[in-house]
Amino acid sequence: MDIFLQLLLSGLLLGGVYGLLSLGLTLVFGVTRIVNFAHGEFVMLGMYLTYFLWQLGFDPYLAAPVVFFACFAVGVVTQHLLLRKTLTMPHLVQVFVTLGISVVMQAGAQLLFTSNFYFVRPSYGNAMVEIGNIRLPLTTIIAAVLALIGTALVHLFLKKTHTGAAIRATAQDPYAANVVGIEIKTVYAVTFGVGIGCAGLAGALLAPIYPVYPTVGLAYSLISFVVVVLGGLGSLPGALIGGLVVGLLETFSAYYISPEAKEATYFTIFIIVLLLRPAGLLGLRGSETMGANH
Amino acid sequence: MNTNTISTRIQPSLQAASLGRTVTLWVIIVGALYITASRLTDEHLVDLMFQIMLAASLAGAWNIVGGFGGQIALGHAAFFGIGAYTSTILFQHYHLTPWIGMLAGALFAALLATLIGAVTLRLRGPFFAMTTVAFTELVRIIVKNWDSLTGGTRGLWIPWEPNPWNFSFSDRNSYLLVAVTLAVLVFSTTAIMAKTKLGFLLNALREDADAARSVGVKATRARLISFAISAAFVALGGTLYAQYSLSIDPTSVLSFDISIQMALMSAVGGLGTVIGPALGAIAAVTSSSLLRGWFGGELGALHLLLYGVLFILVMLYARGGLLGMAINVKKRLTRRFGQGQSDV
Repeated sequence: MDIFLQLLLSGLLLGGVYGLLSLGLTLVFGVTRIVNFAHGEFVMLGMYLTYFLWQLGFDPYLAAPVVFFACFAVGVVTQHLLLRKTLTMPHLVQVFVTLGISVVMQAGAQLLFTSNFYFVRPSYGNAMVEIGNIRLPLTTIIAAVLALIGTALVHLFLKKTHTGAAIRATAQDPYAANVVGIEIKTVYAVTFGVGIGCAGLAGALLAPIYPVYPTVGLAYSLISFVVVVLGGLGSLPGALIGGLVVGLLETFSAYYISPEAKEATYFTIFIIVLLLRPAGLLGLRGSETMGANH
Repeated sequence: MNTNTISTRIQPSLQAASLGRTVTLWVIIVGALYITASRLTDEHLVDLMFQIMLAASLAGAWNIVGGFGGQIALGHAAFFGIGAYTSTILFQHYHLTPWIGMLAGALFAALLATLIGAVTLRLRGPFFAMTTVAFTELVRIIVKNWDSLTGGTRGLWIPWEPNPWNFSFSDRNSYLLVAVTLAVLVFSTTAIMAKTKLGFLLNALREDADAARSVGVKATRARLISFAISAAFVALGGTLYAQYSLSIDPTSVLSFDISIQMALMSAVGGLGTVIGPALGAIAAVTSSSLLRGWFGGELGALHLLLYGVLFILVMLYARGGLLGMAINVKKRLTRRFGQGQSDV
């Protein structure tokens, strides 16, 4: 029973971080219909930024908000320079441009930081929290709590602010949103900024747990693909639910089957979901017509 | 692409003339390739040409699905790995010559492609792309963990005992000749496909799948056939790579990079054109080799950086790729100097 509880809690904590990780991907898709294949590389960027801020003496969790805003800026610039042009182009171009961005970012990281693994190790890095017989790493708990706060803030931003309402309107119908006077261009830029900001923030929260190296992004891209397809591409609550499901799957299959089985498990689930219900559990209306033709 | 097919239909006589010219040109190129491949003595150049031929074959094979079909396939590394592992495992466990193992690998890849295609080709754009990536990762994880059969992360070694019957040669030129043959096969197939029904169907499906279906194009069948052909060629390339490099492991033959490289070379050269991917492969392999020569191994990522930038620029500003640019330049020159036929 203790082991079950331990796995359940670990899975949920990990899932919370995965939720934030995938929030950016699903938000960008919901509004712009672009699947960002460089999403994991922006997580990598967040991890490197955290590493260097930590080297300068910042606590990694205090650095997290800084990383969010830095990545927000990077996102706005990337969308303005590159992705803005692809909005009306075929999916192939959108996918390839984001793939190109991921290749450039990976190669750039390799040139600047070599292929060495970097570790963020705050003094409390190895601390464990004990609740009864359950032991959980402190860093994982902080990461999950901050990830949930970040997710909640993004939701509040979308529900309560004028810009947030404009983003939701554009996601529903860009043409109508434009007619009622919403600056679509600004909406796309802000959306991409927030999406990349979330990826960077997730990177900051992951940095004290996992090492960072130039090709780390692929794993995070794949995890966020699995999460958003499971939850429904474009659905914000779907990202959190998908994240929790993937977190649990990963922890339980790693324990009960084998550590290597975790990836195999979620890729299998991913392919099954895509085949049976491409719109995902909480799919955005319309995404299924793009997901598969009936 | 579209305007091309229309104009060739309007002018059948011109088509026949240009077909004759194309075949003659093709025979000359193939002849020149074989002569160069057998006469080249400098080890370094032989290796460079081998890399180009292998890369061109892979990019050309990817182009059948990605370029002609317009399907964003990002999982062709799976077929490459399947080709490499199938022939190697059959040789080590059953002492089956890799020449036959190569065909077995190609058949296996084609069957798997048909199976995967049957369930995923109905998915559109990015969804198809994500599924192919997930599928490749699944294959990589299986290979990585099936230690008794695949050697796990250590991979498999192929002993070097020159014997032509076992696809093992004492000189590099023989490997190069095989690579040239594979490239000739891939590009002849693409050239024939481009001028026949399958090519037209894929073209129609890429431009507007719904419209094509409504006039009776059997979408799934055309795409499945192209997917199987493409996968089989990539698997043949996998065996060739294994025999040449004498060792394979999950990173060297099954990583996501390999899938991206195929797409990248094809796109930079010219998506959906016959010789575009070959141009992309020549550009990629030569520039990589030159940059490595100038800057040494530690700046190897510089090549990837430049190539990534080029990839983005081509996608945003020149979707015809290098071939498209060359045709544009030729058109402009012809218009300015008014020589020859007006517009071909």
